[in-house]
Amino acid sequence: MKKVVDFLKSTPGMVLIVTILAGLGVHIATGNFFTAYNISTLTRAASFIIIVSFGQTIVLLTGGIDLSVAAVGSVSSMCAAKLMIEQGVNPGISILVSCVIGLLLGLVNGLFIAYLRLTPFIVTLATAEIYKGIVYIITKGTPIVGIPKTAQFLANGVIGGILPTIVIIMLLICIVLTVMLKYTKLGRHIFALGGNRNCAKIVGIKTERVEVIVYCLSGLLAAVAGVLMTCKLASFQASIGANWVNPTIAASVLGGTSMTGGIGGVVGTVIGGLLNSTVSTSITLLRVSSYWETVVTGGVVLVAVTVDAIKENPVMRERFAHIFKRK
Amino acid sequence: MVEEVNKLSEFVIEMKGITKTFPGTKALDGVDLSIKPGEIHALLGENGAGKSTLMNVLIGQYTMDEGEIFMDGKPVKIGSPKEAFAKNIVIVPQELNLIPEASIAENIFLGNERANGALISWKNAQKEAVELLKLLDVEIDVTQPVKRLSAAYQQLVSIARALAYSPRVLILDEPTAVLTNKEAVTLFASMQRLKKAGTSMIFITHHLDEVMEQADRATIMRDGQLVKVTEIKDITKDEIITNMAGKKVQESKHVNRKVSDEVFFEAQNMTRPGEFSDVNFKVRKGEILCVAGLVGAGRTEIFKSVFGITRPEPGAKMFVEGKEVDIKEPGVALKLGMGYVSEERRHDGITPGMSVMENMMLPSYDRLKKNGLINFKEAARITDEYIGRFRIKTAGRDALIKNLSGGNQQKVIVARWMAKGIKMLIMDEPTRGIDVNAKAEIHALVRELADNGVAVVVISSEMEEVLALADRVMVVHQGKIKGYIEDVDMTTEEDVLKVAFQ
Repeated sequence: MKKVVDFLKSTPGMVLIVTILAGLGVHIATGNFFTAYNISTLTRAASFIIIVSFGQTIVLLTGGIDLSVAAVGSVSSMCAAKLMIEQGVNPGISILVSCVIGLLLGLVNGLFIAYLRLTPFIVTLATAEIYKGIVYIITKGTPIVGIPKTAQFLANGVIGGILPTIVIIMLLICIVLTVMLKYTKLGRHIFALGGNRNCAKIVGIKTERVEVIVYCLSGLLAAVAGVLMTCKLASFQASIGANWVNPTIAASVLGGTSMTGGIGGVVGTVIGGLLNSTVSTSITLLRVSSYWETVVTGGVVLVAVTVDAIKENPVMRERFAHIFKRK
Repeated sequence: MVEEVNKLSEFVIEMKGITKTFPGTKALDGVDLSIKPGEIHALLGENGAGKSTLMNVLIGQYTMDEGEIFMDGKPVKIGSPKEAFAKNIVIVPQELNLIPEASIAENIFLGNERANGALISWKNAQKEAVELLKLLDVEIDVTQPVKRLSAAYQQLVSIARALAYSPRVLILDEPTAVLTNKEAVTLFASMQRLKKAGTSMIFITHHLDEVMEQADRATIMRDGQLVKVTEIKDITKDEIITNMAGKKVQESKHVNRKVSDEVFFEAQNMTRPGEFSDVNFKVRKGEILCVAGLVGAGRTEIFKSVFGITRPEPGAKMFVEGKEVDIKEPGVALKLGMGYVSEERRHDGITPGMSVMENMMLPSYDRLKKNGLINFKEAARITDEYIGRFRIKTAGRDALIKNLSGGNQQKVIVARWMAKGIKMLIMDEPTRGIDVNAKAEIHALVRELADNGVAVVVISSEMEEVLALADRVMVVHQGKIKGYIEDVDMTTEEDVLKVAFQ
């Protein structure tokens, strides 16, 4: 019981409550929110971003940031489409190869950041531009259509008429990562690296290796999402992943992951991602102009981090208490 | 009546009945503190006694729940550090608070810029900075970046920054912690000069000798309460300790121990330009080797190289149990059975946002693996065992380590290495900033480690500590090993200095 209360008091807990309340509000207004169809669509749409956000979360846990997730997703999605359609390679192998390519692109980030001690923000900003450019050089921005049906099922399938395959994939990844972060040496080392890099070095953690692995994972997960997106759209589109970067950071932060590292986890990221999706779905259901979506999302993030700051910082809390006392 | 109220108070600052509660603890419980004009007032107490909280209330960082503050007999409200500055109440915090890349002059006038209209006049600032530093007997180029200065000079720059506010009340929180003896003497001279000029000083320190020599009066606190206010001439050092601890404490005494002749670690020809040169030494199994010398002698640097945090020049050789080894990173040192307790606990000792258990078990996860996953049940069992054995005061193994006092954090770090099972432990200033009781307990732990055959290296600037712990003292001066003292029993502080300067 105490654990439940503690969870509800945490950032992801509060975000979950807000998400459910928002859903309830919209449901009361339109009667269309908590329907099997809507929930199925909402979670399906959210899953892609959430998978990418898992990688972002793990990078943030070490105190870094990965701005190249969108571009990596785009490259992998292009590779998958080219292999399957233009080379006629077996879909399974194509997907595997594309994911490995994503991992290698992440490896490039990791090597620069860990061994040359460059700032993650700059490195991934630069590689993002490069990876994105490569996609346009190769495809000239034109779509590649004709993904085989078997591959499409991976992202579009629905089991039992309600459970989308993509949601199952997302949850499986979430479970694996949660176990990895909580119960393996690598996982604890990721937290230690973000919590205090100097201390991590002194207790013998190979900080460079952990850092490289983290960016590889981020690349891999971005690739998985990119490939699945290709399967979903049954084609490669140059727009795949184009606006993934900000939502992944938002989902991580809303999920309680600290931008300075050492605090957070992937379960929160699922909740953060769901809130994002809830906002956009609600806007559609309420027939508000979709241009409002980013305004609302941005506002939610701002409120969430402010509440968090007040909760965590005694000086801020005191200052806030004062404002209310005076009134 | 009215006239009595208006009469100029005997005190420049009076804090009355200050109470401050944090979730779960009463940090201050009706504490009074009165400061006379032009006095050096020592504020004493163990870590966690509430000294810092009280000072944070005085400078407006914290708001008190109850109590009043008077300045020159008139009630005042201090709502923020800025308001405290405006009333000429200034603190020199214990943690250095400087911008490494900025120049000395910039740092001194940070937030207090000398503007000529809208623009900062750097010429005036530099001139004034030179003058402020002169008050501290420091002559130095004020245009160089602060990061080039030693910790001691950085401390003096922070004091100069405080002086720029022409303080009436200057709070010095552990100002000598990073200073060498000579620098401390300089600081005390400046303090006496400021005192003559009428500045009141609140002096927080763990060095009671400094209190006896420098302070006029003292306020002693324990567990958030006021214990005693006294003139220094009316009290002895032992009485202060008794009041601080609430019970009679035994200061660590030297214990003669038997040490094996087996060498565990040997270094040959270790050199790092600018840090140390031609260093050769041996550490035996079960020995406590204390490394003495002045701050900045190169002691920390030597052992950072031993542990693989930095690398010595090629040509250096290291041997563990007779076998030559190449310690190119801390991971290698760990595999060879070494552990390291760093000088800067907060900077590289602990991971503040992690639990006591995780901080203790971090290097031991390899050992705790079961089917690839960490066996946290076993980790919890070991942690609880050490919390009990070391008498670590914590709400539990899952409490965040940042909520523990310095002494208890240090115990967790020592437990970290004991739990790992090590053969050699390097400890750099293991009891700096730690109160008397916890200090004695940590000393006992060091002896226990050595009794179990662990080679222990203790780098310490506190002569009492060196003389209490050491089986052998290695004296380092200006990056060179100047000699050894084998009969620690008979040694005095003077002997160590003689070896250093010979």
